Amino acid sequence: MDDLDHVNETGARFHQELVNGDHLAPSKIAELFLPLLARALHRKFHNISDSHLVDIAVADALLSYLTEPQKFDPGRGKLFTYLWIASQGDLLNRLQQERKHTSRKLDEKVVELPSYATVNRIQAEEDPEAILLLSEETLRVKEEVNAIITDEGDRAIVALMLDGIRETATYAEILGLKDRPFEEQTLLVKRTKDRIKVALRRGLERREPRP
Amino acid sequence: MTNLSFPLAVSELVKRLRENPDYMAYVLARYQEQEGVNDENLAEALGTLPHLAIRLALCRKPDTGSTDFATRVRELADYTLMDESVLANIIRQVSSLKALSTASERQLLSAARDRGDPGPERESSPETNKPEGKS
Repeated sequence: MDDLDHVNETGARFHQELVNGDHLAPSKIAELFLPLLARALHRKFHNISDSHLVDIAVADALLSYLTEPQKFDPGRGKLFTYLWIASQGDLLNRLQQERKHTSRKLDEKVVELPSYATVNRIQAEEDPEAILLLSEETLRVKEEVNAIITDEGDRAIVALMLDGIRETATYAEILGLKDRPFEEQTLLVKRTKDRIKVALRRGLERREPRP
Repeated sequence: MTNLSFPLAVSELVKRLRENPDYMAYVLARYQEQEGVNDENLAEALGTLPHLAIRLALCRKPDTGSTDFATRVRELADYTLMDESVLANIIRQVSSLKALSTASERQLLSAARDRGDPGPERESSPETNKPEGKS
């Protein structure tokens, strides 16, 4: 499975979680798609005068989707494609409005909005490079956490927490508690998580302030 | 809530969610107003990393009145490596003050009605089936 397939599969799963009312889903979706969309759209519209419009368009597209996720039909295409079309459409509208307001000819090249028939090609053409940068932010968090949490077992627990994993059994397995009664597993897993969070908080407090 | 290391689009999204009471961005914005915490110090006040404070803002807010409130808060706290009691207190504090402010507004309106003051003019309901497209 390549990176693009992974993004699409993960996106489909997160969409289902969002529709089911999962509290973490909007954050997971934003973290997965926003950097990709912003980067790809910035690259495509690199010569517009106000590049901030790209970020606004991407944010608005995601906000619309989060507000009404039912409008996206997974049977008709991929979530990335849906958001890409929405972002690009929003951006083109903004550029058009800006043109009307300033009533002057802008020199940027405006790309035509692709038809729905071509949407599935877009993602493969636009994104492979951006996808490699997918976990940049995640890596930064991991580095900061690892600077404080040095135990490999604890780091594995933190990784699960940051992935939004809820099942006690997954944690219990890492902690070697599989054979304990469920109530005991729950208690010990919670204690471990709390201990790690306290260690992290203390580590952050001890850390020198950033310049 | 801005963070220079983050894509600008994320900050833009958080800015929009600050006005949506269903999201933690709204809770954090009200908390910052109440406690005088600025964006730069928010992560520190929450006891987590700046990236994870933004992650928290992008999550939906658990309903303080729901039976699974504690579970939802625990999930959010784990996901952002935060202390769950700190998080629960922030959500409760913001919800309580919002409820108080709503109650005060109602009292003022009720008092105005009792005095016979004319209320705000009512506008007709907005159309519900407007076209979705922007242009």
